[in-house]
Amino acid sequence: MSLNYMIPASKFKRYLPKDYVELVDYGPFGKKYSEVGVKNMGTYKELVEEHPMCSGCWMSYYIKIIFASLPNPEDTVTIGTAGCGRLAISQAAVPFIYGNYGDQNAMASGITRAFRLRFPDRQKDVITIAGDGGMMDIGFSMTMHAWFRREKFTTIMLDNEVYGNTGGQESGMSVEGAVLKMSPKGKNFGKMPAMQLAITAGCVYVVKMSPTNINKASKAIRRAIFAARNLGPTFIHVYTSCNIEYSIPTPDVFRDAKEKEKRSFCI
Amino acid sequence: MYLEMLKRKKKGRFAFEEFMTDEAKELFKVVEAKKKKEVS
Repeated sequence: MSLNYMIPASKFKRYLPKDYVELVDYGPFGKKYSEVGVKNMGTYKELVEEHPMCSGCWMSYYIKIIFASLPNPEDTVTIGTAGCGRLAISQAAVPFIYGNYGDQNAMASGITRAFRLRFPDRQKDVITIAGDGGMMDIGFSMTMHAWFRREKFTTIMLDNEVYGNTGGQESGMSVEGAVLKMSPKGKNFGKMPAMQLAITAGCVYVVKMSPTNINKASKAIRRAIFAARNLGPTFIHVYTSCNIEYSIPTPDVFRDAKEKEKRSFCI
Repeated sequence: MYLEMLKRKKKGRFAFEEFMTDEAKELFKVVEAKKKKEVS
């Protein structure tokens, strides 16, 4: 696929926003994935350079991986909703649409269909990125119905097992017995089986992971996007801890992700 | 389908759970073959 239409003519460069020109000259715009991607992170201008997330936030790390893994960042649109994640997602040099709480998958359905009508000759990727509250609690019906309708876009759930942005209430994805600031008695029931729900609803590619391996995480994201282009809905359920609400010291965030991967982030 | 996947999974290893339909499997084969061709 030619990405030449992203490259501005040399005489027009000075009239264009500096950030855009830099993304063409030093960033991933118009380049092959092998030249940029997660393996080369730190050597080129990334799509997310700054974000206002907490120190040691595992979610912001994964969001950086998402944007570094995009097969076609020039033609990608992300959709999110209220929650911590959108603070970093909205800082990326990729168009971001902010949905009302929980309606990100309903919006993505409309946008995907509109893109296919408006740009039949161009591959436009739509990705919804939201937290466990936006995806599995408040946005549950819209998420499920988008999958039942076999809408062709990728859904990524950033599961931090808590409503981190509003003070620490339990979510449907919190583990059983979790004691949080706003649920002092502990949660009475277990995690919702998001992966099983996605498979039952008709997702063609589903992954559940804790992103401790950067290459594996990137491969899953790219596979999900490729499958969504051609076949149907895809879903990635990823553990991205909230080190503030779960009181994980910043240096221990990676260790927590490793432990979670082996112990409880499973069926 | 999901139970089949669980059976295949090795006991005690939960590092990465992946499910894909047969169609998706075929698609990834094509994508990876293309990638190998480009590299060589």
